[in-house]
Amino acid sequence: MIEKTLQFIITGLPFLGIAALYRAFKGPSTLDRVVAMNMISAMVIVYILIFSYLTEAYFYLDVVLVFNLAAFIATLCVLKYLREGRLF
Amino acid sequence: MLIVIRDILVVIFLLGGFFFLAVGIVGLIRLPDLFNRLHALGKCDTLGSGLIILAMLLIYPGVTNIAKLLLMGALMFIINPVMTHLITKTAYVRGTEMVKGSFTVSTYYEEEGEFLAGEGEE
Repeated sequence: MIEKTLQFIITGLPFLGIAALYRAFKGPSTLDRVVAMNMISAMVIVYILIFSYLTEAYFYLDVVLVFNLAAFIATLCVLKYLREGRLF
Repeated sequence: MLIVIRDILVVIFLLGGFFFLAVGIVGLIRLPDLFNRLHALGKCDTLGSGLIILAMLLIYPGVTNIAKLLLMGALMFIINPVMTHLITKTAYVRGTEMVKGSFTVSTYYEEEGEFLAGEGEE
């Protein structure tokens, strides 16, 4: 039962990602695109977690940790550039 | 018996997390304004990912993996609200257009429209 649910979620998540990409493509301002990319990175984190459980490749947990921090730093840099006009 | 209860809990958490992610995406597409979209996403994002991490905590084997998952959940519960707050503040400072009919109680701007938020910076 858990396997079926996990396969359902891992099938459904890319459609949600495509729907968020629509907003990232169409969004009127830059910050809409930032929000959509933030959401997509959160869904990628969930996807890698479920994938790592289904294939029993548990070292992907480190990948998820590093990806989480990298997405945080990336959004932070974009927001700082948008707000102040420069990075350093 | 205990395994059955755990399985039911895991399935409920997984479906709940997926439901909240889907609701957040519906809010991202349908709502008319950046602040409305952030209002929909800022809660659904944290809650959906947190529920799925909670379900993963129940079924992962090994102490090391569970410790990493706990670290990841704590990180996500700190980072996501901070990110939402920062995006909202940046949008407010940049003067993003709101949907017609909304109003703000200003704390960042003076009456002439002078910018107050960056006072402590160089």
